[in-house]
Amino acid sequence: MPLSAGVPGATLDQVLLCPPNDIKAAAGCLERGDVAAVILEPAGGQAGTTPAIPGYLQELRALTARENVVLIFDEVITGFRYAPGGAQAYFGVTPDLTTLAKIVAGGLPGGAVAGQRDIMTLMAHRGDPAWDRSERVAHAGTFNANPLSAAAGIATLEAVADGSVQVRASKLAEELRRDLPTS
Amino acid sequence: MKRVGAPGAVFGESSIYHVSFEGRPGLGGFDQPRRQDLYHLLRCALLLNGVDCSMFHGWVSSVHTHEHLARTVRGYEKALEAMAAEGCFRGM
Repeated sequence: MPLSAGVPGATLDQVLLCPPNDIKAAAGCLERGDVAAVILEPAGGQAGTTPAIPGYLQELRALTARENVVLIFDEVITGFRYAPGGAQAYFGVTPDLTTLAKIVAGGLPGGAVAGQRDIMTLMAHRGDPAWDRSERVAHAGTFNANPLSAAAGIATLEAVADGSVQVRASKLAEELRRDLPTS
Repeated sequence: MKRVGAPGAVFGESSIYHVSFEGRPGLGGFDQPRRQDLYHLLRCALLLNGVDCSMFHGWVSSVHTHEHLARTVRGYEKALEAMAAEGCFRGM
């Protein structure tokens, strides 16, 4: 079931949903042979509500590599929060692509996609008119290279690089989880 | 939550916490629809008590202080007490 009403059926037809922590279900989806990519939050907000069991992300990494399917981690929430290298560093699993949003811009409007060179170069200009016009993956945007967001991003990356703020925030959250009234 | 008669659990990792009226999920997630109406009321009740966070989760920052945490805990206690007084958790 989609998060919200209003998603066209044609869009839903392009997506397969897998239950969390079920590597057999994921393998069953990939057996179709027409799956381009697997995308998930490795932890964090929505996904972290049902925490990944130990080893699941590693198994998913191995499965997607074996099936030549792109593995994408949505680290909009977890990037730089779990560790300076994000949840992928925390869990020791490297995806092919990583999506980042406000967390890379210190909360200001900003975002980034990072990943393996062979995929990222699909967005690069090559100086070949045919490629640049019709084969390159376009990455246009009104706020691309926004100076304020870029400055905030640089400041954020400098602040989180050594991991000390993550340690402090995680310790405080542990205390909060302990102190919140729970049954 | 237990003290004020609210069902559920608090859990999480890293600097994230989750509040769940349905308890902890199983490996495959929750086995029942989540009570979206209650989470909306929780968010409203928290705002009335000085805590602004999302309905299901919260994120702790390195600039938060122990005073902020104590105020957050008090805010949750008052919010849940208000919801319990309104009968939100009856039958759960």
